Amino acid sequence: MDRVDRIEKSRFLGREFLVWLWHESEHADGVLPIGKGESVSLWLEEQLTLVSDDLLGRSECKLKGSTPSTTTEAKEALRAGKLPIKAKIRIDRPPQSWSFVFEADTLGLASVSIPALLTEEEDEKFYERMQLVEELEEMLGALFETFLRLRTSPNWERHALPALRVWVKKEPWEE
Amino acid sequence: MGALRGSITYSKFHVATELSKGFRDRFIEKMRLRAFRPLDPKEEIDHRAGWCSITDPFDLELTSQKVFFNDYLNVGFRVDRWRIPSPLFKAAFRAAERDWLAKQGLEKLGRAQKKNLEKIVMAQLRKKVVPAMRATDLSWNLNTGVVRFFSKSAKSHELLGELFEKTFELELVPDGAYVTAERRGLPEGLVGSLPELEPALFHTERR
Repeated sequence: MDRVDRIEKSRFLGREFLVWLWHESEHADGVLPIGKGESVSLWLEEQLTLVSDDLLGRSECKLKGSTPSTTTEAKEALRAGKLPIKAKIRIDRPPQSWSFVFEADTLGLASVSIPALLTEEEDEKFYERMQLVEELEEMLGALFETFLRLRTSPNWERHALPALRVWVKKEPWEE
Repeated sequence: MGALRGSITYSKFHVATELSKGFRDRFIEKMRLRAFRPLDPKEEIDHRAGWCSITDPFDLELTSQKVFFNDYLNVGFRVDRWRIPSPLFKAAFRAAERDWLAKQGLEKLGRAQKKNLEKIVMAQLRKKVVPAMRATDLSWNLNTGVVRFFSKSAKSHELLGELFEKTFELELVPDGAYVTAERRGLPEGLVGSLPELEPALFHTERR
């Protein structure tokens, strides 16, 4: 298998990562460890897109609102076999806060809103912007690493996947 | 939207290479060779891509000072494209066809004559319009090898990949699950097992 094949065959993990993030965000008050004793608060907000691809084609469910991930429609879409491909996410690491649209298939980021810049110097603004973007990427990278370690461990089949299935079956108000 | 200001929407790529001594001068030289060149109506191409200053797409004189921001290489990726509205082209072609047929005393154009006339009409129209310009920011962190390109357009990605490879002789690898796992230094066994995993079913236990 060449590298391009390995990249393509692993692409589905982005959607599973987003399911896992969604589940984690609804538990332990959405506080997720990111290593080195640090943790962040993470939640989904405002927009969520789920899709399923099968022989009949692509079926898409686009949800908007203050917290679409907590709606019956979102859970219903999961129960119909759809998976999230795009979600607006907020990450808080007090006193800073980031919001962005996460694209699961590429692990891409769009419409990133970074914490307010401190510098007033025009030349320095670029470095601060990039630093804040790189900090966000690092936090997401750490979360993805946690997910991959779990996903490739025996605990995935034994504990994590069954817990995710129970969560998918439940209505939002049953949580 | 971009690296310096505005909304932050980008696609992430990786460059896997150790940069050798003196790379900055070499890069500037190579980028100058591939700096944007304005389209000429006489040329038959419908678009051209090239590098420009990240702060001004009309500034095509690339220098170290304009490109290197400490450990970042920042540059604009400019693509100009002729956009002749189809109704305008059709109307101009019909007029030219009538004139030509009258002059030659013919009733209909042959296939080769039609193609030739289309080229002439297109060249005439291109003299009257300004090409559509698009400049996109690119920011390359030279320490980490991460390239952020501030566009999600697949077409732009394709053009960027071509120009980047021609300029730097380096491949741009798009980010994604597998590449992220590799770059985070996860154990080889774990990374190697990722393409072998079966997608999980969250809504049913049955496959």
